[in-house]
Amino acid sequence: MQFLTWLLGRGFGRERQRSIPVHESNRPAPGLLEARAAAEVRARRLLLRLLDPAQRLEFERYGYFAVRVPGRGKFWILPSRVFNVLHSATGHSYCGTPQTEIPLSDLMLAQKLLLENNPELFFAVANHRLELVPGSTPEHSLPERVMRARRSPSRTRTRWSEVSMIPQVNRPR
Amino acid sequence: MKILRILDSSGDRVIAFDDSAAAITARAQARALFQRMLATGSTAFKVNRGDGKPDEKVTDFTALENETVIVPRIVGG
Repeated sequence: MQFLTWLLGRGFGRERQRSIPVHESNRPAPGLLEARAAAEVRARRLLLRLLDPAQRLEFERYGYFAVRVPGRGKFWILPSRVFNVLHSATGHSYCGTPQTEIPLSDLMLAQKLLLENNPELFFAVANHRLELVPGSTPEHSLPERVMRARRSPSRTRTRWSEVSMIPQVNRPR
Repeated sequence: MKILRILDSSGDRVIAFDDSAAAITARAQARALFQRMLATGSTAFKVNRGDGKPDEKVTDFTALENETVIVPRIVGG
């Protein structure tokens, strides 16, 4: 402990902090945000061009769209990076994404193409979880409900293991 | 003119080629890229086919039509 105090007192910690170049910190490099925004604009333009008219209308109105998967029914593709493929019949959401980083609209396009034309591949690799209990919500409002739940701040949960089991001692007043 | 559109971090990368004799090199490069992408787990789809034809998965370079979208290998998230 004394050694640590001595080390910090000599400014080792400060020196190390100062020596980290700006581009190595958590802040994005200059121009990166602009490049990402431009990529998203380009991807969105491509997605809009390749959606069918009903999907385009739904996407422009709500930000998500439905696809029909042969033999499995209707799925919604939500504007989210994880667990964004929602099955209308079961309430399960699926997460399958390209290995390389791509804009969100490209992700939605990739999922549309896979679900409509090669669903076996998508379901073979995608992870899934139960998002909503089937029947608890009218089908047409499932995507809105999931998106609203994801936007709301998460509640702090306490696990049983975090609760102290040491009994409190009542001090006499 | 045929287009290969590879989804990437910039949105997409476009490779254009055609079946003319003048475009032999461009076509060879496109074929090599197409085959390399599929070999590494990417999936290609014919899109924007006209006449109301639906999109379709494609694995053969000679079967490519006007526009093809290549989706990089997908993994469980």
